[in-house]
Amino acid sequence: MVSWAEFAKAAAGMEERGARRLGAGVAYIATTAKDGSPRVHPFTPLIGGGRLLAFIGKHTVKYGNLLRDPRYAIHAMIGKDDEEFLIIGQAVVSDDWATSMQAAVEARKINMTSRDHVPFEFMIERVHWAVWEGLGTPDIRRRSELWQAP
Amino acid sequence: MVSWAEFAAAVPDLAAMGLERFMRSEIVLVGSIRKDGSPRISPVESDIVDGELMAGMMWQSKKALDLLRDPRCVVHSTVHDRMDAMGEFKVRALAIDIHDPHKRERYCRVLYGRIKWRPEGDFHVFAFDIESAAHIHYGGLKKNVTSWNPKDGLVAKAFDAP
Repeated sequence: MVSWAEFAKAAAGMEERGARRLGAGVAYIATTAKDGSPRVHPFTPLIGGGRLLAFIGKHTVKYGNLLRDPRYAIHAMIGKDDEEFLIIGQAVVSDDWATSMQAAVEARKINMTSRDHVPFEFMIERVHWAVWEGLGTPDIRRRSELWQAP
Repeated sequence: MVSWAEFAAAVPDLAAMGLERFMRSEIVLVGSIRKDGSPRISPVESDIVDGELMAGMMWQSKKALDLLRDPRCVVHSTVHDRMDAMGEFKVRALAIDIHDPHKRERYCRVLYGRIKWRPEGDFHVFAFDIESAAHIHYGGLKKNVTSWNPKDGLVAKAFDAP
């Protein structure tokens, strides 16, 4: 499990594409409920200081789910040519002062408020990127890359 | 657990709004559970076919294998941006593996009618039996949640937006 910076160092091309997709301001995160069933929620990922962060509201279902079971899957908004960017890993509460400030700086850039929210860092286990080429033609094919943390 | 048609008959306004959210980008996100119990999220194309919410998946794809092993899932609408005033719509459901060739063909025809493409060869088709539905949107400094399930019916709540 690695930080965003370590992922970026190991797979610069994927990182650039991923940062662009996650920079759309909203993505989707899947968590598991108490009974083990899946939940899906929109959320706002923030990349700052070489870390993948997000403010998660204490009042939200995903907050309780991530505290109980930190395993997550994040899917960026679908891009042009159905471009997909997916991350799998574990989330950790990172409410130290430095992380809170880092996340707040990134949140302010997009006019996001963070009252009653807790900063989480999303540690990365696996990353998947894919795009469809030739959409709408008989020559349609999928190009994809997979990266796994050492 | 009800079909989409039964859900729409019970709460037509919520179902119409949900259908619009599901169809506007031609893609929905399906949350499923992996073999190790961790969550997976996958974009799929969905349609309403003969009163059932359905989606096709590549043969033996990981998301399809998830649903065959554990049918509990979430179908979630796409959102356009962080401030999307349309909000999010989601259903919690059980995925039913469809084997009936007539139903599968109907699904393919509806899909082809919409995107001029249909799956060939081996592929999975799932129908989603709905356990509950919810629409969440922000407005007037409130987080507005409208939810429905067969037991409790329609419930609307508003919370102070964080």
